Amino acid sequence: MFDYSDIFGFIFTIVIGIMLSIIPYVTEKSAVFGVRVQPGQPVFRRARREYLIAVLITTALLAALQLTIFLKYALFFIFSPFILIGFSFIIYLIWHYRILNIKKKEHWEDSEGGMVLGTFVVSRSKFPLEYAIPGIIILATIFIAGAIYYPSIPAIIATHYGANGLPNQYSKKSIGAVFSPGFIGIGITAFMYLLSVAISRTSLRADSSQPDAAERAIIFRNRISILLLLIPVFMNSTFLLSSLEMWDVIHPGTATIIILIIPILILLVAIIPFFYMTGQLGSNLKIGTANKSEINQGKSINGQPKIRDDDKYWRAGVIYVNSNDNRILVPKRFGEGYTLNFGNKVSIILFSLIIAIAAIILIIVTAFALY
Amino acid sequence: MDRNLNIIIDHNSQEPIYKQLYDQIAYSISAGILSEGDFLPPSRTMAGILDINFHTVNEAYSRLRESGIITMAKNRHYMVSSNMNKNAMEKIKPKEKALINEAIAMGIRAEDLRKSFDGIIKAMKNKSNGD
Repeated sequence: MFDYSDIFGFIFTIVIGIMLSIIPYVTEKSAVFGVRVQPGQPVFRRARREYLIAVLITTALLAALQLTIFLKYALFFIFSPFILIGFSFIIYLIWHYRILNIKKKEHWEDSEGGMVLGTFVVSRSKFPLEYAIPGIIILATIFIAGAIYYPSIPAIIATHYGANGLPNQYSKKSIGAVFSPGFIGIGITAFMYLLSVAISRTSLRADSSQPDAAERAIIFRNRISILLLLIPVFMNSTFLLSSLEMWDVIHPGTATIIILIIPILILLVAIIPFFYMTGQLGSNLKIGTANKSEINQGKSINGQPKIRDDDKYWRAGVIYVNSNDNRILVPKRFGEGYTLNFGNKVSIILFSLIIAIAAIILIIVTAFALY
Repeated sequence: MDRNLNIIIDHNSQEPIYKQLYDQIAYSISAGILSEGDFLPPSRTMAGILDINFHTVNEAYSRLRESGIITMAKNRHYMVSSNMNKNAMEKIKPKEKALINEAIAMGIRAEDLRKSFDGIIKAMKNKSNGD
């Protein structure tokens, strides 16, 4: 009744929806819907729960649509994440401004006071390089297998497949065409490696509302570094499978799409518990009292705020603009991971570069498709 | 394990921010968190994260440099200097004098002051050895 791409689209939408719905539960405890607050107000619980329910209901609706009305439009699943992201961002904004208003009305924070705990990388004993090895092995497999199969690869190869699993674009056999997924794999692996190194070197502002904030931030940073090194394992597996299909070694037929995207789906599913259990800056980590550091036992002085209000650097609570800060990568406020500092010229250039490269790839692909 | 320098800035405190920074960096060195040859973060990184002006960071750094606790390395980053600073005793003398004056004026006996000094030094040594 359903073909593979329908089932895949259904699962994909649900996974993305769950990821988006848990965001308020993984942020810093003192950053609620992008607003810097003292944690523990009852309204925060309500906000998180209502956001979760709204996003999950939308997800269920979209998933249901995919198996009914949009059944014939198999590629609908490509749009469903954008719809979900857009919708959840609207709910985010509603709560962001609502909490900002309450904060202003009730004078929760005095804009001049507060405490800041910074944790600065002084020296790294060792970069967790070993986690990069599995991804590189899979990448190497693509090229070794390609070299072995090269003579038997047909003179015309299918380089693009439709959602129905049938090829809709062909190229003449050449090193460039045969290894194109492998080359993209090299690019992604190198990019993830550089990002991982960059993140392992970033100093952070810890969430001083939590005990052991500095330890949490350090564990969080290490875990993100390792995660970035492991992502190529899944991406390269997809490239390996698509290469084997392109070379006519495997013939998944109508199951093409599901076989190709299974590794990435596994990654997405595995990332949910990882994100939930770690939390932004390690906010959800369970830390034993054994390794408590002395410097970190934040104290509230004369009832004045314990946390420095930094709302002025965050546009709508999601875009960081601070020219006094020379970091390029900073931890996100709503979500888990990092974002760019748009107050820094270097990150604006980097951001434009990434957009430009994406646009160029898109134009090239489109041009080829027309040909 | 990576080594990280933790700095807490209290914007509610009466104590000037450069002084808070100065004391905590000095503490990190005496507690063994920072050691000889370690680089301090660039002042703009420090300033951005701690939400203070980078001139304030430079103020703390230049005072640490005057005390001989840190030096400017060839790459223009500040570095924890070696303990072989000949002028260190000379530099700390005025502070010691001021402290002893104050303690005696407050009626603290010389003997108790000496004991208290030893106690603090012992506690710090235990801390840096314990980690």
